[in-house]
Amino acid sequence: MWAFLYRLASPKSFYAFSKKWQTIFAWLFIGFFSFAIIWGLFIAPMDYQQGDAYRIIYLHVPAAFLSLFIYSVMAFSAVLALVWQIKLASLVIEVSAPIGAMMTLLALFTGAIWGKPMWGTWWIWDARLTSELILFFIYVGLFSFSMLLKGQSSRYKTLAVLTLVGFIDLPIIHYSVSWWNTLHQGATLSSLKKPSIDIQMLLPLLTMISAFMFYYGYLLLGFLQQKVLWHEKDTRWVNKLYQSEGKR
Amino acid sequence: MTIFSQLTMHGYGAYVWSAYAIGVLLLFTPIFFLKKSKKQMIKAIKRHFVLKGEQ
Repeated sequence: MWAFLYRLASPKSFYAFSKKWQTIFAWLFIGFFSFAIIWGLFIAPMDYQQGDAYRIIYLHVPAAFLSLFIYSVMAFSAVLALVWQIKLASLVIEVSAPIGAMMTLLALFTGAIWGKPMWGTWWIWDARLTSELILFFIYVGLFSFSMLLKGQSSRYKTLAVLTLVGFIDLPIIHYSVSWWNTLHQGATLSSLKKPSIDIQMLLPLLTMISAFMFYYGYLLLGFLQQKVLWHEKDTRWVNKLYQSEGKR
Repeated sequence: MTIFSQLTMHGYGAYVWSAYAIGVLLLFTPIFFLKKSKKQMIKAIKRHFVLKGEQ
């Protein structure tokens, strides 16, 4: 396991690995997404209280889950970048920030659309909604920071430190529904408790969450390949790769 | 249950379909940027090699 991770930290091995896995992730995403969207929209039963409006859950929950998951990946990469000075980990932070921002925005948009028929309002300054909005601003801030300081070598270290500072928002988002009296419902899925959702509704939800994870994997590897190529443009392996691609 | 009532989501169609339209749009925009930046990256690297060759 460690030997595999150690090998992956080398840009050349990572490039070869990511090329193969990006294609696999793309096909897995297409398959899982198509299946989950049909299952969630037409096959899963209607909710006894919310009617068909609950079907927004199949976009809202995966997007919200991914917004937290991506930030956790970024925080883990920040530790790797600061402690072990792994260059690839710094690139993971830089590439993940806009994807995370997009996921958070999707969670906020779908939440607002779901909120209107159920709560009677698009938005409320509730603890869960506000902390998720703060996460969106953190993502945008990190992304803007990396764009502003493009070309400066010190930016990766600062970006990693800022990512770790922003991590404080994650437990706040997760526990906001328990710590405060919120309009937003409690957790539907929990690793410790039995899920509060019926199995017929849960299965398409889990399929969609998997589809979103593959989607993130696909985008992450795609953008990382480009960053790696650019950072390694003066090395012999990129030169060789360029020559072999140029001949085709 | 008729196909029509299923498609209109029993009165919630406007909310459900607009959420899914925004979702699909937001999910596919980064894929478009990925393809576009890949082309730009190939061009930039080729230019880099040409400049290096000239030196």
